[in-house]
Amino acid sequence: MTQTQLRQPLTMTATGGELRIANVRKSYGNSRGVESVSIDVRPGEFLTMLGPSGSGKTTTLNLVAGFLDPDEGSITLDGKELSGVPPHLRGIGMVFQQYALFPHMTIEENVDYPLRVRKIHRAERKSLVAAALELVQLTDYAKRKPSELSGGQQQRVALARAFVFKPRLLLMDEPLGALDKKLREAMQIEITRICRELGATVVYVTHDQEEALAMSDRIAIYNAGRIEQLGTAEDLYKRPETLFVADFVGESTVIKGSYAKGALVHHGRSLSTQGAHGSVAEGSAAAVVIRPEDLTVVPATQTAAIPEALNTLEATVTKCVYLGQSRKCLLTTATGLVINARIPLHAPPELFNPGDSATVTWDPANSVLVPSD
Amino acid sequence: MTRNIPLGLKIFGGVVGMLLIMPTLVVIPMSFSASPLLKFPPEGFSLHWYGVFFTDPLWSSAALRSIQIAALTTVLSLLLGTGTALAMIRGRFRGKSPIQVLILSPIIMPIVVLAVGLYFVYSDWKILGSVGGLVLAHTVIAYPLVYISLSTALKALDSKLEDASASLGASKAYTFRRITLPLITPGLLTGALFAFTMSWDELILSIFLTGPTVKTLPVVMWDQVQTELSPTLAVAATIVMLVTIVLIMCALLIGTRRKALKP
Ligand SMILES: Nc1ncnc2c1ncn2[C@@H]1O[C@H](COP(=O)(O)OP(=O)(O)O)[C@@H](O)[C@H]1O
Ligand SMILES: [Mg+2]
Repeated sequence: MTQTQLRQPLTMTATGGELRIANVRKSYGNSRGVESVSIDVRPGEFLTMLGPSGSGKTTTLNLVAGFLDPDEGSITLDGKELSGVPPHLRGIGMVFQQYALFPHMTIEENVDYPLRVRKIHRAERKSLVAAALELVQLTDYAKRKPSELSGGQQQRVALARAFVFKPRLLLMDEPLGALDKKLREAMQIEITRICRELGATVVYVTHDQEEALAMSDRIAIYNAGRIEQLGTAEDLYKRPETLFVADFVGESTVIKGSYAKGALVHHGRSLSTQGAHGSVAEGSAAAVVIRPEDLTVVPATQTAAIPEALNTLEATVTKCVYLGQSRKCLLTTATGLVINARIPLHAPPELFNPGDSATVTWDPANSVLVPSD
Repeated sequence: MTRNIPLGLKIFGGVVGMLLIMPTLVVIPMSFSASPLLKFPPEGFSLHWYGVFFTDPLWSSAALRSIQIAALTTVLSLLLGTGTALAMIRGRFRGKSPIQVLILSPIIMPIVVLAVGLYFVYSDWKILGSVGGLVLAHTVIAYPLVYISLSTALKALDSKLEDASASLGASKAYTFRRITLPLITPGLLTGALFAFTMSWDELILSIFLTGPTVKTLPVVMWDQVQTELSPTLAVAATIVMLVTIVLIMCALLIGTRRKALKP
């Protein structure tokens, strides 16, 4: 495949490419990289890969970028098979975690680099670089060296350099990982804005849940070299399909047991799953997942008012943290189960001191049923 | 960095340094001697022996020969050293540590042993006393220095920069020219200076491997010390020393500039 076939004319505004990763597997000698990963990324979509460290996110990106070759499976961009195409002919922009700016070049020269490589006419290069630097608000820094910029500024240069040649696909590997929290939040907004303006398809990697929720159209949850679930933030939060996703996204309470006749049996206690989302096989190991905001905590003395249809568990408050709008509380049951709940500020004061007895209740229709191991 | 060193130790270090360097420095006044005899302290002052050095073909051609051999050694060492360093740092293959030991062995090996070995090989190949043979021999001991200086530079170079360059559309060759090479140039220059210096004042291999027609400056000095002790010898020593000092200073300067450039 020639360079011109894969490159899109630079006069056009970038339109997002369609990336298809199908059944891709990659191992490093004896150690697993990714096993059978499949994702379809829609044109113009902002898709995030979220998962713990070592789960195969970087490996997937490197396979797409062409720094690694898959052992099996296929990766196509706009219908063209990418395997066998060297990285420099793929026309995919990439932003690295440690910026990877060229230290011997000025900011301007860094951003100009992909354009020079493509032998674009000088005048056009100049205006493209100027436009890119303006988009990341670094026009005044054009003549400086990367070492003279702060981390956030360097990352914006890396971003400008990655999109200035209008790639159809932009890959970002934990681009904000090296920044402090405040800057990270500002950059999340910045990156989302720039990507929307560009219209490019973006595959973004992070291990920060909030970042993924804040930025993405869809999120792929990675675990141990596989994708556990792919969906919108709401899908993952409200309708997790596996125990891992339920546990990883949000701060849910997970109650394990075995499933029988529309209820979960947890240490001899039958908890209704009537109307719960998800289904598991009769008699199998299962877990009920409940979001903190779906749990109600009442003092042990006021259990009489609880409707019949709700599930209840007796627990002891172990810790409460004041959060402004509510208190975040941890409770423990006699069986050792840890419950994560929010208690409103106006709740009776005997509820949020360690050692207080309470009853936790929830509507089974608000819980999620997932298979357990 | 010198902040934490006590004054007494500084003085002690200075004295030891002076004592070590003194014998080297005596050749400078001796080279300006007005008497035909080489002795210390020198008698009178004249530039006569500098004139002899630059006009007597024995000396001047040896000096030119030394420059030629050092230059060729530098070029050959750079090619070999760069190639080896790139293969060792960027390549993916097994058994790197034994190969590394092999590459560095000429530095550890007694040079006189190498000289004897090469002497027999060269006489068999009939290249004793040739410029090529001498360049080859000097390269054996000079290129590990280039290798060390380059592999250090390559190790310090973030390979992500090369990945980034590829993702921006640059071929391997383009990336090498625009990214890798500029970033390892200080290492390359340092290596070149060390290689040149190594060949420039090399005596042992040269004694064994030079012939009557091809002689380097150190070999002529060695000959002269045993036959005729004229102050021209001091002139030669001064010149050898000056060139070496200038080259080492350049290498140090590159080293400090490189450090200053790091963020
Ligand atoms: N170069 C490598 N050699 C051997 N194993 C590797 C290499 N790179 C990654 N791995 C392994 O592959 C798995 C996935 O790694 P990676 O894709 O970097 O995860 P993530 O980016 O999600 O943290 C990990 O178990 C890691 O140890
Ligand atoms: Mg990673």
